[in-house]
Amino acid sequence: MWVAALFAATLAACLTEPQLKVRSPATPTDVGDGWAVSTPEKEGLDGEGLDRALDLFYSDTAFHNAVALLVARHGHLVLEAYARDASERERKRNIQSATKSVTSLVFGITRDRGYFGDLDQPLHEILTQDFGSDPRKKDITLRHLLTMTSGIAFDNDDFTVELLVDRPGDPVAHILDKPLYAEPGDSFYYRDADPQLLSAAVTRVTGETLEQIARTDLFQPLGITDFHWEADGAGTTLGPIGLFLRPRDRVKVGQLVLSRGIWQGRRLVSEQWIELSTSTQVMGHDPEAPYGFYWWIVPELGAVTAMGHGGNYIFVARESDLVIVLESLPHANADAGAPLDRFLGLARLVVAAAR
Amino acid sequence: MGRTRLRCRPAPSLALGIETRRSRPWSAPTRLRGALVPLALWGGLAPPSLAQTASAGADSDPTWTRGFGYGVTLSAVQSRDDLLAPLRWRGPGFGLKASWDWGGNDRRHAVALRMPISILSNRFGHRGYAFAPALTYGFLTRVARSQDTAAGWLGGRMRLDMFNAFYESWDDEHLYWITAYSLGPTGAWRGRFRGAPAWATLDVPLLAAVARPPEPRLNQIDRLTRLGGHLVDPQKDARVVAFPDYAAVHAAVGVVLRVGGSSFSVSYILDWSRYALPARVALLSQSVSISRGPAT
Repeated sequence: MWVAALFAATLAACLTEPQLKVRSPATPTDVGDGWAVSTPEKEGLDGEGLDRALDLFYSDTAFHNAVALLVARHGHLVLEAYARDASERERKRNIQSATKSVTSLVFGITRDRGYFGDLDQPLHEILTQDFGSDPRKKDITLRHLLTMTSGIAFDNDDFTVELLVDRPGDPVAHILDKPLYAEPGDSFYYRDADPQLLSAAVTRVTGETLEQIARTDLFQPLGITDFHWEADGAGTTLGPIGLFLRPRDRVKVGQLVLSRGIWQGRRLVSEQWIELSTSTQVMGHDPEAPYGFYWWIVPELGAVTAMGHGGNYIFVARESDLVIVLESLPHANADAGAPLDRFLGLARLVVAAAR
Repeated sequence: MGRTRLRCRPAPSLALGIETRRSRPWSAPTRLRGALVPLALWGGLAPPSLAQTASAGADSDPTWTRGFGYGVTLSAVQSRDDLLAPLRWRGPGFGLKASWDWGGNDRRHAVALRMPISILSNRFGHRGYAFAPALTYGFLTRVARSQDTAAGWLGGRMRLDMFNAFYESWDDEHLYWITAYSLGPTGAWRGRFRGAPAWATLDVPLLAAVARPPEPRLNQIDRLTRLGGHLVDPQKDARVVAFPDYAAVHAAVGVVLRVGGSSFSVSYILDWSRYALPARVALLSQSVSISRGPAT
């Protein structure tokens, strides 16, 4: 009989499925990475309010693919919660389209070096590739690239497949070979193609890739030592996607913007560029929100945010002197991830705790 | 011919719930005793399938015919890949199988191919799909034989087991795979159950080259839209590991049934594997197979 029972047990066998999230103390740890740690109370954050945010973060329903939630206030890290365990602290993940916001910072650094003084400079004056038979393409400017209004019809779904899987020899020419869906400057259309052209322009003008500039002038001063930034087949850093950062390093990026370009007393990016890039330049859609130079603007909370697929946010609430980072499993789709409206539900709780 | 019957007391052969009535004395060349018995009973061809075909009369062991076999499998599949999330995915699968057996009465070769696909979901109701082809080659030597055609076989088996999953509703941009080229001992028992040819098999890979997705991966870097990408990419950057870093068990039991003058095999197949890099992955598949010919 025990044989039958064994057989039945075999039939009923299941793989184990642990809790998706395990709640643990969210007190930040000083790991010597440049972050000063503090407590929410010391930095004027209501603990109960933060608990409500943590409840949401740890819920399986609203944020089941979230892996990290961090909050900094007044320049101190005050909350560090990981959905699985603290090993997530050392794990760099794809920040997805939040990469665009870092690209914006690096572009600002090149402007601070003296390049790209005129944002209305036509792209064809910079790049050497053939712009094709459509003369309107020669009207594309740097500003158009920064505001997703170049008019180049290149869907994001196609972008990564064609550029990163097929890996054409000249990715810029491949992008420029696409038709226009609108006159340059006329219509916002969120695509990876525009920041990739911007990345190519930076490399063409400065002789350095975004990754090289970021390594020396951004990440090194921020104490970000463990990162990964992908490049296309020509070696040009991906401007729209492909930057991998650890959770605490993401908060540093947000803190830099919150401090208007200063990290621990050292200016890394000019205040002018921070102001310009995080103020409304165009009205974006999907989601409907004002858009700066690769930063989404949230007027309701006096904030700007980098936003990446699946629920990767670097949220900078200036009026509350807060940075909120939500890190999610990098590739979950919209149904499983955290779209902006869902994330803002969490951000409101944190911002409310600061009032 | 010895009849088989269900026994209700613990014995090595009862691990399968079946035993030959006249399991002794064993004839030459070797008697199966003691610790060899479970190996002999849990051994051999995975996935096994057996039928009495036209070639059966040429075999001295009618429980293991030679030639081409084919069939279908219905499966209950479970997977967990912590590279994505520690979620269990499960669902039904359907597949085709084919095999070719050749060799003499004391030594056999067996090649088998399975091509199952499955539809998975997790506890949130998110959908996923998996394609899990398996190609095996086994070489077995008969190590024991009873008077009534029950026999034990031992040998080795090379396996290629792929599990290529697309967890669409969670990650619509990547494939999650584990591909294992493995080598290990195999054992088989072949005899009779209630008068019908029956068998049991067990593979335990000891050495494997295992390929897993890299970490990190870019958006949509997997060639989802290209069939070749589903087959070629999961072969890259395999790492050679030994048991228990890559742990797997492939076992099966089956019996040949005769209905209306036709004989076909019904078997239960258990496949379990676990690997830890770059994050834990575990697979469990339980299948019922119906086949004709010595589908191995």
